[in-house]
Amino acid sequence: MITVEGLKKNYKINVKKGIFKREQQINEAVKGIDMQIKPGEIVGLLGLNGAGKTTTIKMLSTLIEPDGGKGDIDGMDLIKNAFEIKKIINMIAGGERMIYWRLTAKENLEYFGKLYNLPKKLLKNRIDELLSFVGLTEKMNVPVEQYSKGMKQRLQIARGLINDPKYIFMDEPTLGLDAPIAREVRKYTKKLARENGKGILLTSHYMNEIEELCDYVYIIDKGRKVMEGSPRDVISIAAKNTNKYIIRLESFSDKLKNNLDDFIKSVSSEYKIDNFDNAYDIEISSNKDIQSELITLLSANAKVLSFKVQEPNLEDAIIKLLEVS
Amino acid sequence: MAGKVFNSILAEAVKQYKSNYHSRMVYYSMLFWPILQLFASYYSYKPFENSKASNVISALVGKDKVFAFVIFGYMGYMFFGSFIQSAWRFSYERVSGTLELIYITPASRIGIMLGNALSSLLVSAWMFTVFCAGALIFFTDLKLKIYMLPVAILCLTIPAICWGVFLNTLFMFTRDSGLLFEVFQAPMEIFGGAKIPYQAFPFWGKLIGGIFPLTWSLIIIRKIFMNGATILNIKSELLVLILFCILLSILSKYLLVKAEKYARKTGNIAMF
Repeated sequence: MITVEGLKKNYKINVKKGIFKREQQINEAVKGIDMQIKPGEIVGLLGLNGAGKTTTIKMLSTLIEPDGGKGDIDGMDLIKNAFEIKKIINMIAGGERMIYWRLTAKENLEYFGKLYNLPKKLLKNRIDELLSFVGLTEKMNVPVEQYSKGMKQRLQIARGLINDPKYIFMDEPTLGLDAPIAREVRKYTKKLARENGKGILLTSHYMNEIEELCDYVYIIDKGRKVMEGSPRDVISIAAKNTNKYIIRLESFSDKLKNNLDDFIKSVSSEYKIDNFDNAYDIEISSNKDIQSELITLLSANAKVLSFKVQEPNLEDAIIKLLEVS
Repeated sequence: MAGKVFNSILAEAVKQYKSNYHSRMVYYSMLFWPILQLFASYYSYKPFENSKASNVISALVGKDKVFAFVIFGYMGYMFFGSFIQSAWRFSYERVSGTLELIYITPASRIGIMLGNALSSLLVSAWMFTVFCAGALIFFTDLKLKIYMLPVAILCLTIPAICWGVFLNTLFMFTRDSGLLFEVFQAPMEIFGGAKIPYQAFPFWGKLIGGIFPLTWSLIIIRKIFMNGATILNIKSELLVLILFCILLSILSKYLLVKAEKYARKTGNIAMF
């Protein structure tokens, strides 16, 4: 199990104050994070850009040394036993960097496998298994520079599994991928945890991905933990009063607009409207239950084609949480 | 432990080789460029022939040996140069993000550096062969004792690898590796004795030249090829060279540990 308590990291940053003058400032990237990741569990790490997600992942993957707090992976200390930890962890990042483009998929995997000192036969079998797992067997001898973005990402996954790690840190693994490929990556991720018992720490900007995959989430902001729990817990606590109404109207007159503006203002809510396919789609977010008033107001002024009340999701919860923090 | 180091060396050397010698054009160019370099060194010597500078050299190495002196100097310099290039090339790992992935593995760090340096061996060995063949054709009065050829090869290869690994470790500290490249390259070319004999420099020039293993490699190579030297004739220079190699190896190992510690502290590993 991965356990960290009060993990901290400060960076020194140079601020330009002139052509030759620099002023050194301290940026507290992570200000004391507690976290647990069990084998077979997918844990989400969420936050806005600059929240400290990548720094946390790099500390856990031994690439960066924490400045404070303590952490261990299966009883091994993050600082003292970094080389032992390296054998049981790996990292998968999104994007097209971090692989050798002039080498083939097989050559890339051979290289990284040898860095883990894997015996020849075991490495060969593992490469075959992984290439089949990510669906690259047929293209294994093609240089990576000729791969599509999705294929490169699948190779990244295979590379991240070459040492059969017990824990995997996935930093935006679906970044910039098309929907079907992102779905495939999600499928692999799920399989790794559920069938292969890997403990996974996942960061992503796609909330549906987190909701779909994660058993537990940590929400951080400006280097601090804001909340933790299962995605459902987070939604129910943070966004329990967030009501979203999706309404389709046949018309949207000036009179209706004025009435709606006044009503929305009176209940401190907000709305947006789109004109699409000869109809008007209105999305209203409110902290109050305004369903009956809305129906009365809208049906008196226009023909209501549909009216849906949408359950709050993780995205709403995080926005609310970060607004408060 | 030895297996881990060996696997790291092998993995890195094979990877660099496959990354850099990926097309036929590279091999075609290898057929031509050492020959072109050989001609270039010959014609850069030509205007120099019978000049005052040439007289200085001929007073030190013998009148009929000035051209051979220049050729072997050039070859040694090019040999070291290719190892320096390989060290410089490694800095691209930082840009492509793969340096992070290397550091995340438990691979032998010194093994990686050695493997990277060794990937240049093919080019260097080929260039050495072309220059040796050229020297045998051009100079009928070479006094090389054939059993000393392996010694000459080792005296070039091992210090060049140690130098390449050392530079590589320095490049691990900083992303501004181009500056280090310039800082070492030019003084080595001038004071390393590639074109002007080391003995011809004033004391301060000898001090600068003396810190480059190339200087000592060149003295040994020239003595072996041009004077028919045996081990006994080169023992003091050989001792200096061995000490250099040991010192560079210890320093590289120490700096590698320091560089990784520094990178973990500052997070500069991902900066490029």
